[in-house]
Order: sequence, then structure tokens, then C-alpha cells
Amino acid sequence: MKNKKENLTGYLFILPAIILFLVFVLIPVIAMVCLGFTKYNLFSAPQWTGFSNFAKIFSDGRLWTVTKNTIFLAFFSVILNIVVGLFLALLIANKKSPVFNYLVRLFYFFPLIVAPVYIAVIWSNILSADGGLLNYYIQKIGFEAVGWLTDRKVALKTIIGIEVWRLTGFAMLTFIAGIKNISKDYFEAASLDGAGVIQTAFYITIPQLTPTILLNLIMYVITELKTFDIPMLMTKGEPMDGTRTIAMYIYETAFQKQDMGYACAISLFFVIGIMILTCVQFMTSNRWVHYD
Amino acid sequence: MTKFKRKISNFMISFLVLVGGIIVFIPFMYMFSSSMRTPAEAFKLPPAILPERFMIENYVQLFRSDLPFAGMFLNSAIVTGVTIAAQIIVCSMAAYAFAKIKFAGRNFWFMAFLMSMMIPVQATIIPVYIMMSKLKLINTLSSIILISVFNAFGIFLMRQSIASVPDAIIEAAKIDGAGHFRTCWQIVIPMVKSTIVTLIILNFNSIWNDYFIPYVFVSKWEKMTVPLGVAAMKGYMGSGNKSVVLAGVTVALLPILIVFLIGQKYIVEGLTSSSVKG
Repeated sequence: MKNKKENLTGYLFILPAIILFLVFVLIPVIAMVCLGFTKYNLFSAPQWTGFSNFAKIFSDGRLWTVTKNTIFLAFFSVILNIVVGLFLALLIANKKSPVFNYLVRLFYFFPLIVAPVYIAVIWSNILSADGGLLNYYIQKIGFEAVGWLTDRKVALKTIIGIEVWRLTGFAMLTFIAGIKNISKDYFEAASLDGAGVIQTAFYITIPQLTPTILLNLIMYVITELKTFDIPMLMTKGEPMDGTRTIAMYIYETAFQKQDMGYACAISLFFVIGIMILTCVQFMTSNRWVHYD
Repeated sequence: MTKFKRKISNFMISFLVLVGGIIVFIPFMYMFSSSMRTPAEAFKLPPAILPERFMIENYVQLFRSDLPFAGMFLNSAIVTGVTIAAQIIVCSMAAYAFAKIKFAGRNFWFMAFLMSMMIPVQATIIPVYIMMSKLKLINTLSSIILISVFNAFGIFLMRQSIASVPDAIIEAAKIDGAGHFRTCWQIVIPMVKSTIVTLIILNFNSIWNDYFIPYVFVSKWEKMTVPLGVAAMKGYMGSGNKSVVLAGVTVALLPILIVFLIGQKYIVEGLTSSSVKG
């Protein structure tokens, strides 16, 4: 009797969350899978087309390009964000001056609170090919102007640069907190054994930080894989799809070409990709993450 | 001697990290000083560090131009306020249930919610868009609010925090005759206030700054939020007067800057506690 009441209360408490979960997550996912088998443009009823959308995934050259872009972007921005953040954290975790700590956190963390939209506006001004600030100074010291956003070989790397500038502060802060959580005994033992700064970093600090590295990895991979705002606003995916990501391609297919069926098929491919990558990170983590 | 050397190298490291930080910050200084330049000066190279004459007019023009900039601020405020209020209620109740009520299937639902964090909104947006258009909710603020209320991360963060409230307190409340509803709102939630503040600040940041969801759902000027408006403004008058656009960016940044400066401690604690404790 009492159990029944607890059950009822429990479900009453999570009911709003369950309804929202069903309406905005689970049902859309099921609808996405179903629509993947159809041709649909919002104005006429969906037409069943079997596996043709899924077959098209394998022959769509543009999807291959945008997938390659997304993976390239995600891979390098995740690695660089974590490496730069970790490096900064190792340098400053033990600084005691409150003014210094405040300023450093403010400067490096600030881009994180600024919407990608505004970042795109600011950087577009700095990077524009003619009349941009950066090219002006580059030419002044005797180099040739770079097509930061217009040269197909450079544009995606520019986006990666902005992503690292924008997000590395998060890794830095989590690593600083992680370093402060490491027991002082380890560092004392290391210094008694005569370990130098670099040895301590590689044999004590970094292995102890592996749980934080894993969490950063998972957060950054998901964030970067769904990149949309910055390339959308800075390059619109140009030049020649050079900066188009999967999320942008889904948007274009669904809302500009009105091919919702195919867009759903791509979305499914996208979700499965993210899930596999996240699971792989968790599953391989016991090989390199130390908990104690 | 070595001690002296170490001191010097420590100082050098601090100095370089600080210089790096200032370099990271330069784009924002550029934004701020360019937002007050005259149209002609905005294109002059190299830019002076300070504008020749402070054009406060750029900021005035922002609110007088034919774009409803003030209305966009109101829209953003409504969307952010309503979404956060709804999120806190939904997350608190769910988190309390997951932490303190033993009901059948609670692990199942908790896992389901956690799994949903892996599904990006960019993938589910198409069916949601179809649903919203059938319900005639496209180009309304409600569409943006509805899709943003469910927040699995918020439920997770609050559950961790409520789980650390001792069971004895809940037992005591029960003996005093309080049901779960009263225990949740009058006893437990006030005890996890700092987590709620953290959640509010994090969500303020993500909702106030969100571009993708409003971009998909809204195309009418009167219903645009600030990020959408600034992006549209960039295309609309970007080539003519970039100072005014940058003034728009500066104004749009103010609320988030205020929240950040007040709640910096909570942001840092919230982000790091969730990632360190895992």
C-alpha cells in the first residue's frame, strides 16, 4: 500500500519532465526515423520511399565532404582545446595572487560567455580579406594577405582557431580545479624523489587528471560535432562547402531544399555517429583513466 | 641563487600567461572601441586604440533604426525568464524524485534522461519544427520556450546535489506530517539554493545566447531574439556601418556580462564540480 503511494508520488514528480522528454526528445527521434523512409516537404503528405534516402547517404558526395569537415573540425578543436587548457592550468594552478587569478580567469573565460553570434560578428570584422585588421598587420610586417575565410585551404582552420580561442577557458578552469583536488602527498613524494617540474607534470599531475580529461573530451566532442552558428554566420559554409558542417547541411536540406525526408535520414546518421563516438570514449576510458 | 632563479621564472610565467590573456581579450576591446567610431573611421587602418571622437550616437541609432532592437531585448528577456522559471520547477521536482523517492522505474527514467543528453537538438529539430508548424506555433516565442524547457543536465546536476541532503531530514519532515510535495519545496529546495543559482546562471548564458533554435523557428522581425537580430543586422547594414552593428553586440553583451560578474563564483564552481566529481 505504502509502496503504491510512493510510486504514484514519484511519477507525479517526474511527470512534467517525462512529458517534455516524450514530446521533445523521444517522439521526435521516432518521427525522425520514420520520416527517413519518406519524401516529405511539409506541404504535402509524406510519401513512402523505402530505403532510398538511406541509400542516398552513401552516394551523396556533399554529405561525405561535410562529414569530413565536421570530423576534421571536431578532432583538432577538441585536441587543441584540451592541450592548451591543460598547459595553461599547469602553468597557473598554484599561483596565489588573487588579482592575478581573477584577471586570468576573466580574460580566458570571457569568450565562453559571449554568444557565438557576436563572436562571429567581431571576428568577421577582424578577419575580412580586405580592410580586415589582421591582414593589415600581416601585410605591414611583409607577408601576403591571407584569405582567412575565403581560401578553401585556410577557412576551416580559421574556424578551428576561433573554436580554440573561444572554448579553451573551460578546459583551463576544470583542470585548475582538478589540480587543486590532487592530494598534496603526491607532490611532496615527487619532490622528495627529486622529480623536476616537467616530470611531476607527466607522471603525477596528468595521470591524476585523467577523469577530468575524459569529461572534457566528452563535452567538447559533442559541442564541436554540432557546430553550426560560427561557420553559418562567418562563411555560410563557403568556399565550396569548405566550412560546411553536418548540422548546417541538415538545416540546408530540411529548410532550404524542403527535403525533410532526406534531412531526417542524415539526422539519424548524425545521432548514431555521436552515440557511437560517446560510447567508444566511455568504453575505452578504463584503459587510460585513473580513479582512486 | 636557485631560489632567486625560480622566482624570476615564476614571474615570467605569470607575465606571459597574463599577456596571453590580454591577447585573447583584444577582439572585445576592438569591438568596444569600434562601436563608438564614425562610419568613416571604422574602416580606417590601422585603427587608433581609442576613437577620434566618442560616437555615443551609434548606440542611440541602434534603438532608433528601423529594426526593432528594443523589442528584441524584450523578446529575449521573456524567452529567457519564462524558460528558466519553468526549467527550475521541472528540474527540481524530477531531481527530488530521483534522489529521494523510491519508485519503480526510477533508474530507467534517469538513464533515459541522461541518454538524451547525447541527442543534439540539431538532429531532432525537423520533427519538432513539423509539430510546431502543425500547431501554428512557428514565429512565436512559445515555440522557442517549449523546446528549451527540458534540461537533462539540470536534472542531473540537481539530483547530485539533493542526494547529498541527509535522509534523516526527510524522515523528520515526514514524522511532522509533511508530504513529499511540502518536503521538496519547503525543506530540500532551500537547502540546495547554490546549485539552483548555478543552474540559473548557466541556463541564462545558454538561452540568452542561443541562436540555432530561434533561427529555425522565427523569421519575423517582431519575434526575433537579440542574437538573431544582431545576426540579421550584420547582413542588413553590416557593410554600411559596422560601428552600429558592433554597438549592438556591445549592448547585447551587457546582461550576460552583469550576470557573469555577479555569479562568476557559481559558474566556476558549477562547471567544475560537475566535471571533477563526475
